[in-house]
Amino acid sequence: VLAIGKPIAAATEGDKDYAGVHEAQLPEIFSTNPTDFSKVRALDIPTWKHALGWLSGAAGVQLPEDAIAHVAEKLHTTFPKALREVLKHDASKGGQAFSGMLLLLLGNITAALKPLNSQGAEIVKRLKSVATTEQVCAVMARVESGIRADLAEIKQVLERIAASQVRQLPVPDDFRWIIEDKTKGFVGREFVFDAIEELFQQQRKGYFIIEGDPGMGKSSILAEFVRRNDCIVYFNQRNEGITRAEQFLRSVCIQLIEGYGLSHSKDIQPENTRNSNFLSQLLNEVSGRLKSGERLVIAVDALDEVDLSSQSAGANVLYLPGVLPDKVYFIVTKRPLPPDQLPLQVKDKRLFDLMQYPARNQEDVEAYIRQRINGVGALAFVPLQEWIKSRGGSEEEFVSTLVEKSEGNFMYLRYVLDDIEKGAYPNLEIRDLPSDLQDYYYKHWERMGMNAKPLFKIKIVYILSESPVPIPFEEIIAILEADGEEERGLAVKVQAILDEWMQFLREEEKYGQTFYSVYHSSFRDFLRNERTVKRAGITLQGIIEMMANSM
Amino acid sequence: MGKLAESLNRLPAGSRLYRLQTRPQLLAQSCQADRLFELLTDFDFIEAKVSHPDINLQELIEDYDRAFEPEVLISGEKAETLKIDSRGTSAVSPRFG
Repeated sequence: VLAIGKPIAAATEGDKDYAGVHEAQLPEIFSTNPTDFSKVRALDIPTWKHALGWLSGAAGVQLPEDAIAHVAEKLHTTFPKALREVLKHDASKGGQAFSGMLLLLLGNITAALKPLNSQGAEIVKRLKSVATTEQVCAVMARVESGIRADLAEIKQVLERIAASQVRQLPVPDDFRWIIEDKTKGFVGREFVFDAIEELFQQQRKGYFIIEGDPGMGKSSILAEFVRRNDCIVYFNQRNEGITRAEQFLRSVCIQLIEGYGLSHSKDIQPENTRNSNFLSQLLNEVSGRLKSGERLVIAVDALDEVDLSSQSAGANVLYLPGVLPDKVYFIVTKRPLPPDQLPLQVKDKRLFDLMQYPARNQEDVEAYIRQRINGVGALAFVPLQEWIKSRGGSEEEFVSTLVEKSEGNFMYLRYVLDDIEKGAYPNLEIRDLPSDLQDYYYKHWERMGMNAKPLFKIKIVYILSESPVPIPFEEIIAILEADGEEERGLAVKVQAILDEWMQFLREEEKYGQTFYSVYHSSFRDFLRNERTVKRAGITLQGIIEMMANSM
Repeated sequence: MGKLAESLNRLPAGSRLYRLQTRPQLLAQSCQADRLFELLTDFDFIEAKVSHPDINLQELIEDYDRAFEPEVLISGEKAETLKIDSRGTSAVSPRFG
């Protein structure tokens, strides 16, 4: 590449397709739309190949195909690293280049804001995408002399906002991986975030209840909301053993006490985890401290995964308060369940049923599939583009087939696309892909030879799905041994079965052991389904008895 | 040291935690009332669970609640004893903690 650098510079001089980048254009690498930030990606290999082809063409140099491919691959991995190094280098010298870019960008934003003539929300929204308000204030303070009048005006607004800004609420360690995992490849869903914002604007307090079937992306929406906003967080997870009201009250109360510096001990008394009194007291205290324009938001995922036997009968799920103090909002998600199965009697609520927005869901599903086709998948064993091409299909056909089959279910898409990329469907036509999420699970079940009722395999899969909390590998072995399985070679055999089902499992290392749990509740639904249980030739009761007998 | 404490102590830390956390629930779910009763009146179990740094006292209290779930058909007599125990555990817990 270095060798052809000079000829390129010469050859491209005066070429209208090639224009050098000027300093004033640098801010354009930033978007003023905060949601675009998550879309920033390193160039993929095909794009690098294209660029190299164009460059060598412009320089009149003939490069062999495999050399271009090799260089493209190298650039794909080293370029982002090099860019990071450049930024680091700049930062170590006081970040002059970066600050300069920031100022230019600020100028652009000011210009864009003038016609809008709106302060507050819009300014904050745009600035948040650039840097924190404090950072921007600091940069602006350095260039105070000679500042234009409109900049000074915005600065005042910013300082008011910075002063009244809610402190950054940290996400508890237990939930970090969920947020990272669930927001990977996140696309769209703006209509949900708009509806939440509308609630904030129209009501002084309240519950925003997101309802949808398993796999529709409720948890991802909540995780993305948490990523973008300062709020208190809680994720119920049946498969991780996070199901009890006591755990919820403890975690949320500690987050409130820490986040808002309330004068209570962080050792929550057991009696304060058996009803909503203490939580309500803390909510009142925080509400009283909030200035006008501030609010407290508590995001709680998967109310349907709460173990209702862990709380008093008749109470709201998780003891959620029926009445909230002003400026306090709960954003919760749940499957559609009748009130007798999920008690939630609250005032000021707004129900948001994801299923009522088929067109918007379809748009987002389409965007997700296209992102997968054109994104990082280029590194996959079987890139989606190649899989489609080798079937004589078109991207359009593939997208429309999957949109139809998925019925708005992102879990289905994630599994099927992953499987294609792993090479699991070498002989399948596009139209023969699984018809929905449950069918997808069944096809995997079939492929793993489960219909022949291999008892050993079946026991392992059901131990995983019935375990109340993630189970250490050694405990799976202990249960099987107590159930009469031969000890010799048992660990190797169990590991082989776990590997067959790994895409549905979560693996976690703690206490020096490896723990396994089911990744998504829809897989557990599939296993517990009457038809599957019958096919397996077992009873759930029998599995639980076997698990209880290992001690 | 009782038999239960010995067998628990032989296990790696993660397995020990798993058994302390899940045993009562699995026994209750499989309606093995007698074994659940035995476990909830075994002081080795109570002490191990109370003194485990990663388990909250409330979790143990909820184990006793399980014994009173309708599906767990514990005979009235035994259930009475457990009720006393349930209150007692909560009151004496600092001794183990």
